[in-house]
Amino acid sequence: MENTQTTDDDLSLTSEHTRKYNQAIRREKNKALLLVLPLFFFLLVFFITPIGFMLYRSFYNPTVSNLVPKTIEKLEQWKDISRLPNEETFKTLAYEIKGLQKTRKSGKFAEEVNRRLPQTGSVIKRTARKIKKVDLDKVANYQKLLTSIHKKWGSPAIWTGIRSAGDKLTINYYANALDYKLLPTGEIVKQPEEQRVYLPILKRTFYIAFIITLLTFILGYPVAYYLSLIPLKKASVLLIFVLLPFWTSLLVRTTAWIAILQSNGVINKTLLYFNFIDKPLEIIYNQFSTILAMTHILLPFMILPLYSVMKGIDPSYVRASQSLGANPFMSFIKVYFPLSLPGLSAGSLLVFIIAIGYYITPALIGGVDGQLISNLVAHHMRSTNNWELAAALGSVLLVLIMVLYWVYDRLVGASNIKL
Amino acid sequence: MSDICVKFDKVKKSYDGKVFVVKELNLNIAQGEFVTMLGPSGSGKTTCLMLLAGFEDITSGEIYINDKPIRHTTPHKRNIGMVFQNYALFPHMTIAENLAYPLKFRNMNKSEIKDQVNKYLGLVELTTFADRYPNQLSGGQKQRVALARALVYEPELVLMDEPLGALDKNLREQMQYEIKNLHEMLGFTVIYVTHDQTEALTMSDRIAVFEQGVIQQISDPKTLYELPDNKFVAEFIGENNHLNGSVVKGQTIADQQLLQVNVTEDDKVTALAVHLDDNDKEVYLSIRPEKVILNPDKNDIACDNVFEGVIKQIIYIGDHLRIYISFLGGSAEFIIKQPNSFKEENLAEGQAVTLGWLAKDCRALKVT
Repeated sequence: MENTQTTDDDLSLTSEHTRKYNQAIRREKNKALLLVLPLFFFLLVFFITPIGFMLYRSFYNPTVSNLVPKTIEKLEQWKDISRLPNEETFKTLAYEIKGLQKTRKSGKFAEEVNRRLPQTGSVIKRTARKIKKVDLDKVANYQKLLTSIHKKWGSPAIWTGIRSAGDKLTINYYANALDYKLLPTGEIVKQPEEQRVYLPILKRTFYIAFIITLLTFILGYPVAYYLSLIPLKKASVLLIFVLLPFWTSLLVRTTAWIAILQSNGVINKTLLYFNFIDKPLEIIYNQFSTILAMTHILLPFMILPLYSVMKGIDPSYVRASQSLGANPFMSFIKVYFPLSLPGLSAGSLLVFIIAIGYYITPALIGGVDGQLISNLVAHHMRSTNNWELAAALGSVLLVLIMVLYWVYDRLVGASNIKL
Repeated sequence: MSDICVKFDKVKKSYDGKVFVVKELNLNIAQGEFVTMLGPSGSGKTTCLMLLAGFEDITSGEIYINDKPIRHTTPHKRNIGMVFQNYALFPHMTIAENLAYPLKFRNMNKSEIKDQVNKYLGLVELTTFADRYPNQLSGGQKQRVALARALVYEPELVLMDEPLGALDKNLREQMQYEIKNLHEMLGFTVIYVTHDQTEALTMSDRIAVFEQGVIQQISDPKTLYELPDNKFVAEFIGENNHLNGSVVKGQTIADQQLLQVNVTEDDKVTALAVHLDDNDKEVYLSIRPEKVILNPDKNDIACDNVFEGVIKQIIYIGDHLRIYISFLGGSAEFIIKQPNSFKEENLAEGQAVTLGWLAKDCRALKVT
């Protein structure tokens, strides 16, 4: 074949080349995107959207505003809060309460206002009951009507409470979540000492999660180290034992601990039998049992990342360190341990984040001391029906964890985490 | 102080109690010597290094370093420098920190450490790389750092386990030169493990050829190459032309005696007896290709053994030609290496030639 001479023009990149190249790149990217799209939609629909709705509820609560819209409208025009609102307002509220009574929603109204201003719920309920029998069209003075049903209608406090409850957007729930309260006047004050619940529980949750992470590290590191040293065949068999807990239900594992730790359980019975103790130890339904059971349950999450990283540490590093004059202990501290850090980071992060949000184990065997933040969230969703507070608590937790992760990233570096 | 740096005394090593990986090793290495342990994979050479370093236990026997028995000394107290095949540079430390590491365990203050690190960085010409991390270096640079790190605390004995195995040819040759240079400059004793014979021949004072846990021969490169003691060494080192034959009856065999050997029913070869005894009737004749002369008669060279043959194949290697010659009625084939500048009439495949060699270049070795 003849050798053709190329000119400079033939060798330079034309815009046509660039365009075709960009096209090809885009096609590749689109193909990759298609693979991810189903998962993304799944996450969007079943994960992101519901959580988004929940979080939205943490600051958006239109309940009262929807129950008594006209009253709220009138209250928004009420300027002088040292005096009572005008007669029109009293009339509007009376009609709306009667309407609510008919549709059986007065209880909800009472509940919501009660949250903002305790002890006003009963006032509203009583008013609703009494108003049922009154023919509102025939009333001359509505202010007199309401104050005669309950004297609290005669002071501005309840009215500021209702107005504040009518705010669609509010930071009230976040304030509560952090043990503050939003007064109807708009001030934010700390809750009195005896009513501070959430911050202490948040602190306790972080503390317990930290202890659990520490314990899983102390227990899991040697196990992972041993597994990384023995031949692969043996290690695979032993790994099955590490993974075994995953194949049993979480409830089963937790209740197994009940069988072991309860006052007539295995441990106590044995100790009593040998007369080591004369009455059963209280080792369940408290912080101790929560920490114990959760450490047991979360151990695989620490062992597996550690093992996978340790398996990749070349033994010649430690040998080199020893040949250079470092004794086995120093070689471990200065060479082996730093090299195992990515696995440790991954394991710690996993255990900590899972522990922070844990519900079942503290719910079953935590007693009072061992309750964690998730149990409180559940309480508000099921018992007090305060989904807004539950959502606020959840968001606080989410933000705290993201901050923690950011700090962690700055200190250790996300690239230093290997699963 | 004795002249002997390392002494292996009846050292045996077995991993399972049944098979000996090292079978009764006796070896003395002098101060400042560069000894290479050469052999195929599994021959026991790396095991010997590991025994010396302390990473494997000696099954029986003793090893002395400067007359001190070290069998029960832990590796970190042996003060030996070691260069690993995969460098083993600590990835989480900079180059300077890697070099400073051994000095931290040796009673030196910060400024002394800094000076020593800089000195050795300079020796391997990597001064500007002090603050880089190992993963930012090329293979050759990493190897130089590994070398510097093994030397920075000035150990008397340095072990190298196939350090140049991962480098390409040019880099390897350059590093061989550098290692040799450092050895001459600093005077430490080196035990070097490799399976590359060229490397062994160019760098060593002595080479110990290992096979199945036993040293087959230990000599300086020239002796090892030109005067192999047995069949294994003859075949392992360099290229080897061989013939099998039987000693003509009625001869008593003394070492270095000239023998008559029947290589076929009709042909005899005069050879040099090497480590044979009277019981050896079958012998293995070994001749290096460069000792075989092409067409000796045409060039007026007198040979003890001359045969007629035919060129079977010529392979062009660039700087020389490999010529395969068949003779003894086709039962034997020899290789001759002819430099490309050699002025010979056009050698062609199928051409009839003669080949010859001297008896003293033809070594008669034990068959097994």
